[in-house]
Amino acid sequence: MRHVLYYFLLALLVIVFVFPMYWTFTLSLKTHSDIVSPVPKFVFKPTLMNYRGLFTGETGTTSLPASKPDFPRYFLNSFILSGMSTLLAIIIGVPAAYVLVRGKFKEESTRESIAFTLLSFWFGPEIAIALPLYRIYQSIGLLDNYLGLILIYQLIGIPFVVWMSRSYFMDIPISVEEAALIDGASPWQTFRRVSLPLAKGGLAATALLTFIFCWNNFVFALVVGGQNTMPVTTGSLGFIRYEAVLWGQMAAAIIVSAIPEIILALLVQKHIVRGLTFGSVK
Amino acid sequence: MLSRSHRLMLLIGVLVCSLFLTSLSFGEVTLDQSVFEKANIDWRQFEGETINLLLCKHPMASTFLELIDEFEALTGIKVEALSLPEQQFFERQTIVLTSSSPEFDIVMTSPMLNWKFIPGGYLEPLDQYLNNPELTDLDFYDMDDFVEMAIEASRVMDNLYAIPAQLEAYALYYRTDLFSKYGIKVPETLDEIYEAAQKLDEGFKNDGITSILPFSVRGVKGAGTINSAYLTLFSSYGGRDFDEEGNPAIYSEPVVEMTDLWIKLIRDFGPRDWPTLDWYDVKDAFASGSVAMLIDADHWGGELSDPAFCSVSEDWAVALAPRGPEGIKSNIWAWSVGMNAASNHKGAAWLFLEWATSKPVMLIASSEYNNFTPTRYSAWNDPVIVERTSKWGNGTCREVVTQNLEKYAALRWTPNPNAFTLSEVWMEMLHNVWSGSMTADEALKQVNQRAQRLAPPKEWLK
Repeated sequence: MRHVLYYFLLALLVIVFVFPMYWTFTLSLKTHSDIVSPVPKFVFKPTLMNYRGLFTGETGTTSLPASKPDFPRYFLNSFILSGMSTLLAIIIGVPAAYVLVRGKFKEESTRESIAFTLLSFWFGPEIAIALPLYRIYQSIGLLDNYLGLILIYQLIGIPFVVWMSRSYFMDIPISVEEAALIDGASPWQTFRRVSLPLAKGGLAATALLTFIFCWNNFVFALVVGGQNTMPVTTGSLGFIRYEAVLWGQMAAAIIVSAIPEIILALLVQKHIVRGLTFGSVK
Repeated sequence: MLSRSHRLMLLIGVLVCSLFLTSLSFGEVTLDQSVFEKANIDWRQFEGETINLLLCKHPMASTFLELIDEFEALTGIKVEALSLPEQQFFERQTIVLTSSSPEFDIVMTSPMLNWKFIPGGYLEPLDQYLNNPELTDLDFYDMDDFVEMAIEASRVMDNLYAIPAQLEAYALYYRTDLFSKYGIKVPETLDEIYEAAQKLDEGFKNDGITSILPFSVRGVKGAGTINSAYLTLFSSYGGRDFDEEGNPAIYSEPVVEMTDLWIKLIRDFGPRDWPTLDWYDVKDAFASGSVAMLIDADHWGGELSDPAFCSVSEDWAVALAPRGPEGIKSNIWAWSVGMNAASNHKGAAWLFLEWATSKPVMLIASSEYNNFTPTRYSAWNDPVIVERTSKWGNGTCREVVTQNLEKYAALRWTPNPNAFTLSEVWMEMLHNVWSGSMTADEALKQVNQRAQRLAPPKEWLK
């Protein structure tokens, strides 16, 4: 009996989480009139028109003229921005985390102070820094610039990478590293050849989650992005056209944008759970 | 043999590449350059300069983006453009103009938006360029071809601040099949709309129809809601936002009655989620056949006549906005093109403005990119456009729009930098009436009182 209840609750949870995705997917296969139908349509004649429209700019109706397709560009931008930001965050964040775990500090409290300072970047809402950010970027010419966005994405990336990888390094018994040191390895070699490979799985999950956070960011791209650097998040607003909202294409864009995340998630699935429960009691 | 992860990586790579290979190039639309060459000005006087356009995603923006090459070939001026979705556009426009940044020379705007930027001197008055024979050939440009009230709406203190390119006035859409089924005549006043809604409601109840609402209208808190149906009705009941001295004049008895009936109509026969509905929600609802009557922009004929967009494309018509004691007085919204006062290339920017709102470009904007309703009669009365628009709404659309252009529509706000804020306050109060926490009388008194702090500058009053 308990099993039945357990599976029932589980099924309910799956429905709650999966249904929005399922519904978005069906929207992407519907025509405009099926989408706005007063009674939600579960049975309909699927069409790939919306997906085609993303890349050709066609709308599937004669009354809405085709326009230049922006989506491929936005998609590429998202890839460049999230990929490069993740790379940079890993390059800076992982060694920083290692030092925070194994480094020697004059006062032990400094270790935590630095870590919490980094974490505090996540406390405030991003929009709070929008205006100063815009003015600073305007004056140094970083508006609508990949580098500008990649740098500001580090506000998301570095604290996350440091905190995540810190927990992985803490899990590695210090005796393993000490053994390497006794065998004559330098601290860098110990980090490079012992600790890093041991934390590899966790770091993969960290990188993936960082990628997802950057991919999903909206505010920074809105404030300092522009025509050339617009990612899919802000670019999707473009489906609200002057004549109508292209719900179908918007849904198709969401589905296509989710594909890289889903593929990456499948790749490092086993490490991800650890990442998601990060911070919970071990 | 590749490992599983490598195969997945390869798949991602192939996916990304194929995405870009499939983005196709576009069919070319071309202008007849000889028309421009006949104009008695030197198009090449600013050759070599570069101008930047800040555009909102709109049929006019699509037109400019498509035809930029032709402008460059004609003038030797290089053009860069940034086209943003509406929300982002509003934010960027405010930042660019109010910081006096010369980043953009040309900005899209509208009368209500102009007012925001005029007090700080952020928008360039255009008369000096229009009346300069070196820059403008008035015979070629033909100001008389513009809908006059649209030009009037773009003036403040007798200065022209933008050239309007697209107009919307407001009208009543209704379902012809339902109206004939229940024997309802086309309503001409707000009372008649209420009666029609009542009859429809009874009919639906008798026939067990639950999926159609008798009436709908947008209700989201934002400038567009007050600006459309409400201000149209308000004006036809003799309402004014401010009197000649700039004192709030919103509260009056006929207007209270009108507001009371309007909210009653929405509450009794309209959507349950009225305060959340934007224009696209009500347009989609009408297109899906789940609304019998709707008051909103009069230029929706094209989409609503398209069977791929609208499931009742054959079964609707449009009528003029309801008549009040003062007649029919539709308000307008006009997307326009203006010039940043901080621009470093004003001459070149003006040549672009002149070209962009010229007869040939405006005609292509309507015929190829859906720019409805155009502000030039030559575009609205072009045979291609006449043929297309005459089919809309069982032949009713063109007549209603033309009458709005010629007689019934005009800007109903007093030019006022605070018009946006005032309309938000107003909408909040209407929501209170709708939810029952206030009477129409109390609400309008409140709006009137709060309008005292939102009055226009004295020198703007005519």
